[in-house]
Amino acid sequence: MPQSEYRKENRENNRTDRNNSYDNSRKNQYRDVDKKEEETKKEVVTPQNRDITVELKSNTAKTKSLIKEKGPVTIASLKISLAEVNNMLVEFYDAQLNAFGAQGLKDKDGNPYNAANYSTPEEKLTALEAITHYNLERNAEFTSAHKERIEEIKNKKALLKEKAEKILNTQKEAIEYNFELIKEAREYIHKKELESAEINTKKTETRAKVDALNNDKASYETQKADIQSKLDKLNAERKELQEKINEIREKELNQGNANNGKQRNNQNAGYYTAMSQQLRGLSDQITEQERNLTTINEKISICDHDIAELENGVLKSLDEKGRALESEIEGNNKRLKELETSTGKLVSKHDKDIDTLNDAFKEKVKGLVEDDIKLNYSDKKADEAKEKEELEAKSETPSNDDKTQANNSTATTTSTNMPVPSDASNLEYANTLVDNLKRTSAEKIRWMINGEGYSDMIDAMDAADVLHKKDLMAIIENVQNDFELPDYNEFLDCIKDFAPKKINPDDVYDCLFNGGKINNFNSLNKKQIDMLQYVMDGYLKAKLKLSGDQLESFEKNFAQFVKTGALLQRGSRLAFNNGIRGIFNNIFNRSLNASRNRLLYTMSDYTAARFKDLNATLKRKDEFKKDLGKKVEDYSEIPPTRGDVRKRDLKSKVDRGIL
Amino acid sequence: MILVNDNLLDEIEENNRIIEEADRTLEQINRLTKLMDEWVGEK
Repeated sequence: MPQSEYRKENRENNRTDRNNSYDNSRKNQYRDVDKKEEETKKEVVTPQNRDITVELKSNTAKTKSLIKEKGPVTIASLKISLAEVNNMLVEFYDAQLNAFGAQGLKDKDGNPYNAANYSTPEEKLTALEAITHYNLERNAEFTSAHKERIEEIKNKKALLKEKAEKILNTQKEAIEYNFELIKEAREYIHKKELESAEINTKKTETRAKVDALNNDKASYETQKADIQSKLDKLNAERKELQEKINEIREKELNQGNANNGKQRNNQNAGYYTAMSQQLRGLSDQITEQERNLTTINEKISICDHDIAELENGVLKSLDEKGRALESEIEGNNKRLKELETSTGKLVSKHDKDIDTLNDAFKEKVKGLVEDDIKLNYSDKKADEAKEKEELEAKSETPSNDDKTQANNSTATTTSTNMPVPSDASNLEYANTLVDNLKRTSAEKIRWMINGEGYSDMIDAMDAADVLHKKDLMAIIENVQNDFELPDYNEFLDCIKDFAPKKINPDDVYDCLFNGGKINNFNSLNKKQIDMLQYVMDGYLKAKLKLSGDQLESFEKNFAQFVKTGALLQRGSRLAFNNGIRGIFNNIFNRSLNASRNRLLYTMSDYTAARFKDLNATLKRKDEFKKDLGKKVEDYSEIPPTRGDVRKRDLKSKVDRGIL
Repeated sequence: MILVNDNLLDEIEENNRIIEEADRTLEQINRLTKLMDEWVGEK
């Protein structure tokens, strides 16, 4: 079974298993959309065609697919959590109200408080609030009774915090799932809009056919009128001739009678014969024109038939189908828009919930940011576990390579690095990385950006809190400020080798620099970001054929600016637009953000590959020197390479002392 | 009007309803937490 089919089937089976209530019929409705998605996944990556675009596309599809896969489970889990927490709350409210009643506290009607008198949980909670506010300062017994159960209340509060965290996290995933469904619905509607456009095209084509038939018919009608006119004329001529013949006959008859039938009027005989011949000729012409008339009538009849068939059959059917489709699109668009708006409101509400609960518990509720990380890293967990195993295995029997790497690691780890607790979250690791970077020299940071550190900075930019993100951006800006702006002509010479013909190297220069300064990538539009991407793509294609000087020139004139610019853009995007609100906003900038992400990850891969090549070259040089008995230069200052940096996360790196 | 993707839109609507319910539950947790603080004299 082809892999794509297996995935599809597996996905559908999982979905069905996880939520029996999920309606399978919808899958059929979106089979085309799914098919398209599967076709995208079907692309086979070989060493020849493997590039960042394919990988990024596959990763994006994977993340979306994960959200969609998990969706029904998330919703089911949210339902279960809510039922559980609501029951817990009601039990607690009931117990408190009944306990207050037992203590002799009475409601406004003079009856002891009794939970059974309140129908909804909200009413019970409101009653508890009212009792508390009334008795707290008036009733010493009420106050002291609670003071005696501080531990119990604190435990309950801790439990509530745990439940609130779970609900917040699941709620966020549910919102993300809804956005995926909204996207799916939008794709479906778009597909229907295409169908509607296709119907309109068919209608226009059919109408053109009808018009052509009507034109033919009009032409035949003209011909028919012409034939009819000829026919009338011929009939008139024949009639006139016939009358003349009759007249001659009559004269002959009269003369014959007078001659007693013995003499013929020889004078008229020739004339009579000529007229008879003319009459026959006219009759032949009339017959021919009548035949023409029949043919033309047949043609007109065919036209009428075809026109009726097109108008009453094809056009009518297309009209009905088109109207139904337009109505469906209109209705669906309206409803989808309402749902988008209500989902958007839920995003704001979710953010407020987090703020309110943070305030209520007087400490951070593990909500938004950390959950974002979980999502980003969810597909990396398997890699992490595998990596841990590998590391453990290696630590038992260290090889020479490991020793070298360990030495390099030590060399790049600052002695002032802050320790991180073993159970720290990615948020904490990211923040610690930024704190460590703040104490690291500019030179070392520049090396890190040019090496393995680049992808870590992307991860940290995503994972750190807002303040640390801003610190990290300031660190990168400092590095960028030290860059020497390229010579204009040298830049153009360098770029023209990689830019496709449709791109003017001048425009590429304008994307990166303005008034002797490096441009802020936030100001670049999609077209400009794509332009930079084209240059990168051109470089990646040509890379193997380039000389060392060309590679260096590309880095110096172009890549280092794009690398830092894209990273800073990522930071500014996330620093003020984080979490679920960011996801909502991203929907409206999807196309631009997709280009930005693609460029950023291209730069990440470019940096990793370039660093790997550089390290390999240095190692080869050293080995050669060793063979010649020469002294080997110490290049331990260069950050260590660990293969594909994107497969690792911050936690494992900080654990290993790399960062 | 034929809404062929009713199921999908219904699903989104139902999900929103559950998410809203979660909001209400969180609101209750918030209120109850404040109440608990008052009981133990933390507010």
